[in-house]
Amino acid sequence: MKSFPLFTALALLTLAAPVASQGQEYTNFIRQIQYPSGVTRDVSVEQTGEQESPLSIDPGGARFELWTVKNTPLTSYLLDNKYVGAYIPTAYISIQTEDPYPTQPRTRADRPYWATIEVTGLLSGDEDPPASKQVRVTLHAQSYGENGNGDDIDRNDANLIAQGYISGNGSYNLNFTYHYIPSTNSTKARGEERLSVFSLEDYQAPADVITSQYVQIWPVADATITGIAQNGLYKSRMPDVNINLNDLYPDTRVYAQVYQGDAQLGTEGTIVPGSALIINHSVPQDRVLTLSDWDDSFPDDGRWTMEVITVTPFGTERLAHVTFELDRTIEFNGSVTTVE
Amino acid sequence: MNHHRHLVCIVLAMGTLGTVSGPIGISQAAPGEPSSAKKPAMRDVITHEQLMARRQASKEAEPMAKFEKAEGEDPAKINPPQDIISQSEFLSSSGNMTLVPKRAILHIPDRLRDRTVKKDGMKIMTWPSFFAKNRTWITTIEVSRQQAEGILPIDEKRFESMQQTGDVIVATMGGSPISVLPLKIPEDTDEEEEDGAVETGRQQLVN
Repeated sequence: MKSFPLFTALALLTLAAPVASQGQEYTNFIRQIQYPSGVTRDVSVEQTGEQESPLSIDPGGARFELWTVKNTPLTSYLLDNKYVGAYIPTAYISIQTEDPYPTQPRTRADRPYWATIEVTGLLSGDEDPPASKQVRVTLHAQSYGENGNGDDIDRNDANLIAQGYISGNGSYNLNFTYHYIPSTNSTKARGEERLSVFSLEDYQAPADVITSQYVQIWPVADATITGIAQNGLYKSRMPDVNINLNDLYPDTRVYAQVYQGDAQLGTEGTIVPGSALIINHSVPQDRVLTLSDWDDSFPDDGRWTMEVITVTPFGTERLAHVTFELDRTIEFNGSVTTVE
Repeated sequence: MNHHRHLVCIVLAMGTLGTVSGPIGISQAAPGEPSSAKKPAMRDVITHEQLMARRQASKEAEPMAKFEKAEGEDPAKINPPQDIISQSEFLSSSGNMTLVPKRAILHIPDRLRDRTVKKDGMKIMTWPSFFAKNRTWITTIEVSRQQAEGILPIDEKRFESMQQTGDVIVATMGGSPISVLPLKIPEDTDEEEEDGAVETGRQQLVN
């Protein structure tokens, strides 16, 4: 019997752990389920670490499941699961994006991601079991729904996009320039895509996941400016302006800038005081920026442009802009006479 | 000549005013390598129409086309993990609760039955932490792999002795709770032998 070490690097609460709110606590459990008997054993686990499983692995293999359990309401979340067996190949998937966020691979609906699948242990002898000579790779996509963040989704509902076989050991590099999450507006796709490697069904065990990794895909932000009109003329103090910001990427810096003249993309303007906002979160955010008492941003009359700019791991982008006229100089036409 | 030179200068100046809104600057990275190249200058945020047009114009092969195509049922739906809560039994006391695999609790005295009911809002503890706080009413019995699989019985005399303590008895292996399957009793030897689990409720002695 093969004694198999538990999989390591149990970065438990960094694996898509739900966000705890007040009063909620999460506790983690690892379960080892033996095939074909179904005998189940729990393993105590710290935040990170490794230990050898005392329940050795039969030819039928065993599945290891990593769960986190929320105390109220009593709910469980599967963080990871892996199937290991005496002659089952091993695999590893890594996903990379332009966002250096360390907790969970994530990107945006219009940005690419890259994946590497490494497979080892595949056999090729005529007498070797089929499950030792081939694995199956799958791509699933699942929407979080409008304004959803994935906290309560059932990942069993994910859509199978494609599946294929791998028969040779080695590394396989994949480029995902476009995404598969269903959305009527492609820039507002919001969900996750998952790559998995499965073992083949064996005489003692069903097909099971050897490794799996997913990337979160967040929508492109948008902004609307209210309170000031395109080509509007303003003769007194500047009106209050609201900037409605939707779906700000979890790592975003936002600001409003102004400059004289018509809109010209790439112009470095003057940042409106009080308009800068930093988003550093795990999920997209909505915000409203209000610009008021901002006349000092306009030292001169004339034609001005205001732009809403965001800076994300994907670059600097203009979300919205508006151009208007300022004419605050009082001109007096007339004469002064006195009467005694 | 001067006019021509002036015109050239204007063209160059326009070219330095930043990018014009157009094709999105996706970094052309090598496969598997995210780009470390300089990000493009400011651009307008992409629209749905622009993104769709770019995708339709793309000549890139589908990434999964790299593999020999597989058909058949979605393997993720064949044998999905079952919710751990539905596959567990519970032990609770004084606002604390833990989970153990189903069939890990071998004996529950009537007086302690309410401590094996699932409750919401408790502090969930791992088994070692919970057991350390509740040794006064929980006894563990180490079982072998064959006992857990129902191939060999648990020693009856030993088990009965443990029941006399009036504690809840939990099966463990290496100190961690483990399920114990019903004891498998072989069929009559005159018939073809088949494996079969016998629902005994608890362990029975086999001579």
